Amino acid sequence: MYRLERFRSSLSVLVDIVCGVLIVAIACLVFFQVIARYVLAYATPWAEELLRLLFVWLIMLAAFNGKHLCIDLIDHQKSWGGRIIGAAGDAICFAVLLVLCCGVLDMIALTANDRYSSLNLSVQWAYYGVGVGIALWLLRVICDAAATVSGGREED
Amino acid sequence: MTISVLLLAFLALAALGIPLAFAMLGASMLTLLVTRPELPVALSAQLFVSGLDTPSLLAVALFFLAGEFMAAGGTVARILSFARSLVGHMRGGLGQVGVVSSVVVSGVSGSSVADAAAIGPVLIKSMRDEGYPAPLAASIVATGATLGPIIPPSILMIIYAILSGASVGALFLAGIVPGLLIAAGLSIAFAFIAHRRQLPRSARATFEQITRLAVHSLLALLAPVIIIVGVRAGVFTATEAGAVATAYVLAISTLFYRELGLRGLLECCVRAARGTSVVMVLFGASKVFAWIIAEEQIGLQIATVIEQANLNYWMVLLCINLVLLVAGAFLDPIAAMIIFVPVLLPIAATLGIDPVHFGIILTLNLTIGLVTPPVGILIFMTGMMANTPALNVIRALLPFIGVLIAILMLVTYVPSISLALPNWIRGV
Repeated sequence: MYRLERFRSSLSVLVDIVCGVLIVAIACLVFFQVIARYVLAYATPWAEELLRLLFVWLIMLAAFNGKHLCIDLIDHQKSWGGRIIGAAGDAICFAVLLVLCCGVLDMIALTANDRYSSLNLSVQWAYYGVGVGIALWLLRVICDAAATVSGGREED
Repeated sequence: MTISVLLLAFLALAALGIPLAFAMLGASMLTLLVTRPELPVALSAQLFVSGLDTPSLLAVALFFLAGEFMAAGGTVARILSFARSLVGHMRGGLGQVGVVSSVVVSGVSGSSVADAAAIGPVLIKSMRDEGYPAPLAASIVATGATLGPIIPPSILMIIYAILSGASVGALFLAGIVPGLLIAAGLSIAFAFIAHRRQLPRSARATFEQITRLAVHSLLALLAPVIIIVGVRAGVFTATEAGAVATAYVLAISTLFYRELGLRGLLECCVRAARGTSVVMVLFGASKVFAWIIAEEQIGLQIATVIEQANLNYWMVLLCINLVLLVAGAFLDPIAAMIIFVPVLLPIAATLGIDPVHFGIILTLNLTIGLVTPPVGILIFMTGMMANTPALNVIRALLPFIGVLIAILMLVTYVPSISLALPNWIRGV
């Protein structure tokens, strides 16, 4: 349990750094597009495609540490009932992520021949980003569930 | 059948306290499994990723980033000093400073929470030091922050534009007059309270002081002008305006004000990335939800019922306002926007309501939810800043909520309040 939490917190620092770099890259690319269009009179379709790809990766990676919106009607810590409901919620999240993961794997197979026209890169890269994000999120759900059961979960 | 399964599953999952994105995805997957088992599993994944892969929503990330840089980079402190020199000498002047600063800060950041986080700590402390009651100090910062999604740029309006197909530029312009009306209403309400409670005044600033502070904060004050003029003149798209605003605020924070170091910069980037992810994951999940609603033509069915029942235009608008106010009291505005637009937009179209006007009605309604119990996040946020219980903040908020609802009704029933400016600029 302790090792799992330590692994999660180390991973969380790494993910934060990657997300920081990604959002800076996105801001720089959009700014570059403005400069390219107005100053250099130069169209940048590759930048548009790269932005879309980076954005998907950013969203899915940052989701690992994000405080996701939920309705806090039930305190998952105060009572055994609350803890059971919390654990059930974690199980549902796990199931949803697994179904989504299956769908993403199907999409990776289905988009094997689709490419970003300017980047000449497979569209699968977007789905890889979602896959990595789902894997991280599964880890987060497992950590949350373990913490809920042991009674040490920090509520968002 | 389909709608019952979808809504019941969504409500049940949301009530368990799981993230709303999972509640939406889970309810949608269950509905598809029960009603359309022949559809492939990949459909949910494809729709979810198509939601994430929406290039125009890059603006969300960039306005989050601009708001973070602004809060951490000393821009807000200068705006507060300038506003204080202008209106601080009035009775209860610091409350007026809160309203004026909220108007300016809302012109760069697109979210209420970012505005409250930027203005609240400094302003509430100053108010407490001058003897203002803590709940009153918290309440004026909370209601001022509701201007964030109404005065452009607005993340909520960008999301509405994507969902409805309305013009972002027109929505931004349509938010200006209602935003200024709210600011005026709050200012008048606070002036009454200040006179009744005999709140203190600050010393009147001299003309020289005002000029000096204006020069110091000029760069910060220019940011909203660049965004609004740039988007409306067609120089940039909303996304590009976000990048220009980010670059501009970053430049003034690091080169001129020199208050944003490398560590602060990284923290801003991480907070912006997390905030963007929260919004976008919800948006991706809503794509699956909205696909089912569109497939079943649920919005159209409701619109047909309204048409057949021959319901009065004013009554339907009143009902929509009530539904949205109640929804806003329980749901985050972005989540509520994503859930309600696919259902309510066909009704608005049936009634002949302009989509831009309807966007402003939705934004106002859902923003009011940020200062109403039980889950108004601004109540708890500013209550913590002022170190006072949420219940006291709610009591102090009541007159200001009254102002917000009065202006909501005015904007709902007088469309020209929001539409006059975009129509005038478009030359209609």
